Amino acid sequence: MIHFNPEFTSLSITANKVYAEMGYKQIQPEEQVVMLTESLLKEILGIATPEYTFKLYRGNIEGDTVYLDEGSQLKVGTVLSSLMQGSESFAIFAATAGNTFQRYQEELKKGDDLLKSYVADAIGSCIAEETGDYMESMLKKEIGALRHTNRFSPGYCGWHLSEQKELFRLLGENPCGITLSDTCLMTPIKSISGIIGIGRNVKEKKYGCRYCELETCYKRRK
Amino acid sequence: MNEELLSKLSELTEAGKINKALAKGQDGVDEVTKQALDEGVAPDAVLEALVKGMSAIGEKFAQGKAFVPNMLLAARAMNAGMAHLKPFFSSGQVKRKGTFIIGTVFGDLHDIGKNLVAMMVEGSGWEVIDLGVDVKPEKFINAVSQHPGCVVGLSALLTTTMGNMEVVLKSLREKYPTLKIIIGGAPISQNFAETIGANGFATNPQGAVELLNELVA
Ligand code: B12
Repeated sequence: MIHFNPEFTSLSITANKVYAEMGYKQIQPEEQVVMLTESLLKEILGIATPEYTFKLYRGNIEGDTVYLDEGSQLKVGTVLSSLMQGSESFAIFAATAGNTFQRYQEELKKGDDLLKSYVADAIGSCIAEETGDYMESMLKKEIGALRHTNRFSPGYCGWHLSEQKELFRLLGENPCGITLSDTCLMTPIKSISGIIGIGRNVKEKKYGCRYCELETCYKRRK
Repeated sequence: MNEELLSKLSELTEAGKINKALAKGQDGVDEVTKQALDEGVAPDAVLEALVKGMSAIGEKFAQGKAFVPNMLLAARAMNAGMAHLKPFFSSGQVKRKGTFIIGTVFGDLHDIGKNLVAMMVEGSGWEVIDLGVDVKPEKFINAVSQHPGCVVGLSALLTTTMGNMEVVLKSLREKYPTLKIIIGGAPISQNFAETIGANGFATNPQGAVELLNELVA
């Protein structure tokens, strides 16, 4: 298992990414929002302790299920199983903006500055995603000449969220300080989890919305 | 004259201009509301102007032309105006449209979406009681018992906690068979709302406001 606490300097979170997370695409946010984002970003990058972990397993895919050699089965659904076709091993991962950020955010919420809470929330989402990207780049180093697929998470593309339980069983108790509730909610809230297929011939294909049943998914709306 | 003040008030609310100190020396909602009331404009007309500003920004958000921060700024501006209207609410001279009780269902801790809906519904002239996150059926029942005639809103962000909406809805309806309940959150669809028997669903705060207004019309 590889477990790491990336230095923030190696995560490339810019104010522009936070604006995009808040929905501002081509438009420049209001001055107040810009000022708040810049100052919060500085503050948060100074205290946050993002972490990621991944574990490699040999395995294979049959139908809609990933079978790991150690005995675990992940029913990822037909969309994801086809996107991971050809994988010979799998990385099971988790990444989080960390508990320090979670506590920071809880403190903020006690106040009544909703705008500040909201901007901090968007920064937290960016940190979680960015830590995921960093994890992927480290995985790349680890697997050398092999290729890997995109990362896929329970709750997307027909992979039921309840499968979080099996993922967390594989990752061991509290990976990176993340806990999983009965309803499969991770705490810290700003956390992600999932699987990446690895093999000589796999491709980094995007999500396969055409086949997915989740009509409300935002990746579909985009 | 009044017309002009009122439309200025709507514009300032929509633009999130709170007060002179924050609006670069220009009058904000705070000053203009006070001025309008001082000049004898009816408080309910003032309220209407504020609501109009909020609904304009809610509409733009629903169309993807404005963003969450815009709604938050507008709500702050609205609150600055509401502070001047408080005495008229207490005296009964201005009335709320109804009471809306909202919460994120048990098992779920997400609150941004719920907070936005609460804020915009309040900004549309309703009294809002926010029960917070991870709310169990008993807490909803208790709140409803204290506010006869209220409408309830349930929020959830995950497919796993979506199921808990049905649990809350059923327990509420058992005690209050005619209670109106609306639901929302990222994974919610019209289909799901109909299946569990909710009175409606909306994908954004302005949708929630329109839904509520229809329900009490
Ligand atoms: C940002 C984001 C993240 C971030 C931050 C998460 C957070 N909640 O803070 C990160 C990257 C960390 C993340 C992680 C995960 N996420 Co996520 N995430 C999102 C995303 C893109 C936006 C969520 C958001 O903040 N929206 C902004 C707020 C304002 O919107 P909202 O809460 O939906 O509220 C609006 C409406 O729904 C409505 N509304 C809300 N409540 C109510 C109530 C009433 C009465 C009414 C009328 C209306 C209403 O009005 C609100 C205002 O417009 C959504 C997709 C999307 N676009 O919705 C997925 C989404 C929520 N995530 C999803 C999933 C699956 C996950 C993960 C489980 C993935 C994983 N395994 O790693 C994890 C879970 C994290 C955890 N703690 O357990 C799914 C959830 C559905 C499901 N399958 O269960 C979604 C819907 C994506 C999808 N597949 O479509 N996520």
